[in-house]
Amino acid sequence: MEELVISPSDFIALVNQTFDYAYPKVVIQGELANFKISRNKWVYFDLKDDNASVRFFGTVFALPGPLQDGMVLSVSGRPHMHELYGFSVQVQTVQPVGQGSIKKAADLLLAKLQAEGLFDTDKKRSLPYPPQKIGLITSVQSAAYADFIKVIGARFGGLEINVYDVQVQGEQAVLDIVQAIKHFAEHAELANVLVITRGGGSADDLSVFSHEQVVRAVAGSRVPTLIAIGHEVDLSLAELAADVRASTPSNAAELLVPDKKEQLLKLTHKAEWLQQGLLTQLQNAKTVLATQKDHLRSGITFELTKQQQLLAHNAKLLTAMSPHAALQRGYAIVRGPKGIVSSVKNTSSNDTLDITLQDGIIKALVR
Amino acid sequence: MSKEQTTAQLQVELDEIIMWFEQGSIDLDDAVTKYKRGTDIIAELEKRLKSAENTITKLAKL
Repeated sequence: MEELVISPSDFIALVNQTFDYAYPKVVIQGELANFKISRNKWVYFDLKDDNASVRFFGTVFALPGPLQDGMVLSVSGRPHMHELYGFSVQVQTVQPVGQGSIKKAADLLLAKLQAEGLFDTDKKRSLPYPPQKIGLITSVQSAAYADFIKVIGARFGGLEINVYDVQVQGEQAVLDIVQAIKHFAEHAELANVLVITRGGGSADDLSVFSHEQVVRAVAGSRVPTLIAIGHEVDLSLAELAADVRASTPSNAAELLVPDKKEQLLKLTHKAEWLQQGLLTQLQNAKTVLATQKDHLRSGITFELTKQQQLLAHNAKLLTAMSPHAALQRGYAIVRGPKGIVSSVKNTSSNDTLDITLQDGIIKALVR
Repeated sequence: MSKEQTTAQLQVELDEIIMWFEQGSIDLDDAVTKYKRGTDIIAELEKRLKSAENTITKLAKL
């Protein structure tokens, strides 16, 4: 059998073809060592166990957040032989494994993002209450989805709920959730609040929600965010980055909308207040009208009295000036053939005079 | 009732009408107009609360 003699380049190509065919993707779990980031972009590290060590190469975008030597990671990637630098696994996803490593990764990321101000409370936005359109990011197969839909349906109606179905754990989850948040940011007509939810789970299950890309996507969401992950005891970094945090999917629904029974009761009270308001206005108007009527009546009565008094006074004056008043005091009016006799010179013998007294007329003859 | 107005906007308008009544100014014509508007809003809000179902749409993934 003739030996195959090939160039180094061909050999490398052959090895890579073999890897691509036999092991297009591997998942390796081990302890992190020699972790290094170059120019804020490239990542180099080893995963080791007691007997061996494997070299990895990738970009920072594949990392769940800051890492530290000694953490246990599960890394997926593509085995590859480089023409100059030899063998490494090209990193696709990185997941801390075990509670200790997950917590350590979360603590490191927390410190980093806190320093950047991603969790600042003064950046939190309030949610529209109630919202008209809800963008729901969750797995439609999950109990969290069923709980949220059930509780919100019992509390409120007329909402438009647009659901973006995502994986909520595992490798695909980070990409799905980041893509979903981006989708709602690009389609403003779909949501005026974003709800991201899933039920409880192990630290591994929930680690997606402490992944740097997910946390950054939540913090940078154009649409205000409400996040409910797991049960109350579980707290992910995405929840810290969200505008509002709910303890459970049901609690998210409660925070988002009022209860329609309470709303109907409030409306009944408001209808009563409104009616009372109108009645009070009517009563006030009546009172004003009655007061005005009283003023009018008083005015007229006063004027009448004044006129009556004036009339009485004038009547008295008139009476005092009347000739009859003089008659009453004993004077008399004398009329002759030529009228009133005010002088003896106006009379002649044999004239008949009428002497008017207060109670009658005396006929007299002039001699 | 304007379809443009959201439930939240109607709630705010109703509360403003109730506050107007509480201020106690006397203008009977205004009071009757505002009362009518208030009762219309209440009827609309009750209708929305009682009849509306939530619409759930599952978005197609890209």
